[in-house]
Amino acid sequence: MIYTTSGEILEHRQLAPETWVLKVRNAQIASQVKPGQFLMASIESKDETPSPILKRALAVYGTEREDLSLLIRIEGDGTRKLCQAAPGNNLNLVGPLGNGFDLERGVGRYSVIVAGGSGIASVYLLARELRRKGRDVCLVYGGRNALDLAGLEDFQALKIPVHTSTEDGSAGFHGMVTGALQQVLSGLDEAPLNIYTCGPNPMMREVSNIAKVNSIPCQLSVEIKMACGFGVCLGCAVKTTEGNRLACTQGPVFDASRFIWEDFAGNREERS
Amino acid sequence: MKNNPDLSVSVSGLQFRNPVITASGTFGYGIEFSPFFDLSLLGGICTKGISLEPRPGNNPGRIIETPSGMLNAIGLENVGVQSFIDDKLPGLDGYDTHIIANILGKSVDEFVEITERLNPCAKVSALEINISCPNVAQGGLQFSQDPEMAAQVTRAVKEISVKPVWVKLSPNVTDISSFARACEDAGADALTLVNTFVGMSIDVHRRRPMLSNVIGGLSGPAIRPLAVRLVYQASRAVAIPVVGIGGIVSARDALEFIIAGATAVQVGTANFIDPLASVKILEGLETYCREQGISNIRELVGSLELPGPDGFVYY
Repeated sequence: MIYTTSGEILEHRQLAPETWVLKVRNAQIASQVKPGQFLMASIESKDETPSPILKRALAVYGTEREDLSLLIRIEGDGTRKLCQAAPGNNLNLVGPLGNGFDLERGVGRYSVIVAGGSGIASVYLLARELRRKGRDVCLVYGGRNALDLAGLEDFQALKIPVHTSTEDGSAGFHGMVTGALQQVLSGLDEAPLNIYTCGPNPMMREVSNIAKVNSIPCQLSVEIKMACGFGVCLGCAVKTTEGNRLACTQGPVFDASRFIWEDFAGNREERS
Repeated sequence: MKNNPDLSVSVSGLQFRNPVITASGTFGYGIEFSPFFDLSLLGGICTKGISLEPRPGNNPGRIIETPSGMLNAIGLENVGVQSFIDDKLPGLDGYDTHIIANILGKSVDEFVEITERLNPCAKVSALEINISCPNVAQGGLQFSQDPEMAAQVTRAVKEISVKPVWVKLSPNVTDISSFARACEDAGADALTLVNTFVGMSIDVHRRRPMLSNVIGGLSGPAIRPLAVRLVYQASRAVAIPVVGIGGIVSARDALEFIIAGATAVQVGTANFIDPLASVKILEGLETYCREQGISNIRELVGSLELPGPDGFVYY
């Protein structure tokens, strides 16, 4: 069931220089969302023509009874306005959307979650659900610097091993998250049974390569611009070995071994 | 006002229960919106443009939001006419609304063959010839740039179609009236205008186009005044009904087109913004009619009051 609904912002809190978390009341989505699913959100407004006009695709970061939280990184006007939306405002929501992570495939001893930057937003529910199922899981989480590692304490509260990396060396492994992943993998007695990853495309591409070299099944959650989120604008097509697939309805989670990175630049404007 | 206003309109000999039709390329094959509302509420549904063979569409990097609009270069991704007939149309069986099949081809022969394939489909009420997609090398753009070519494809489809034929015109032309008249003379039963405006957006940091196709079609409120002007001029150039489309996100916007001369309207990009947009626009039209004491929405079509007999020519 996809709901066209709304939810009041109960709380907004800054987690990192460019990252905020919004707590939103919506029991329908909060009770039904699965790890890795997302929703489309915009700020409810009386404006005849709101700006921006399109909703933004956002992972559901966490849930707590009838509330859900959205961890949002400022990427442009739309995400900045969402981050700054004060409690008391309502969000227009469409969701839950997408396939989510497959938790049953490759059920085994150990899973590694690899997140980069705002990719962390897609994997908290996953970590929590894996823990709830009694499965072992660790998080490898990279950012630009120590301040950038939004949400770290939420994962620590799940009592799972957390390995961090920063590009400037201000916390954890000094370098890219893929370097930290290599280090974690080499410290394990046996190969983990799953890698789940979400983050910038170059990072996920490298994580996919590492998974392939080590023969570890890997699921990636792709981030790409969407206009609708429910399969009609056809704007979020990605290439797979099975042909074009829509990230909104056939993703956003894809088997890394079937994902074709060639030509996949995405089209986010890079900021200097 | 005691009675509900009559919102029904007639386009190309078909009775529509109201003038709100969802636009091709923004409403999938219709069934995608069935979780959101009862599709029978709509006047009609224009389905995603279909070609003779399935098309995979363009590479990733297909859409980008722009001020008050969006650019798209989907590349005519569609399942092809056979799968449309076998897999998509049956999903609409239970709904009582007009299905207008948007069709596209690289040549007149392709348009003709698709028309032949759709002739036996009772569920399809009308065809909408898409001669104006800007996003593929041979998307039919050549038909949209020369009134003679537009007339040629219209005539060929009209000759064999057992259903009414609409032609969806491109706004990327100098003189819309000549295209409107050429299609009318070739037998078109209605005209839809406008398709998207050709546009482009650049990532200045990487100095790359935002769309993999480099250029795309601009839609959304940004194009509305441009589209209203074209509908105004085209509807005065022809006797056949004009279906207005371009950045309609509210009933107010739909009314602009109707007052300018459109008999019906199509809602496009708004379907992405809010899956319930078309129904809200419909409700808004009813409210407007009730508040304005209009018993029949047809009274509004082309009801623009001009300051002089010909209106302002200069701007």
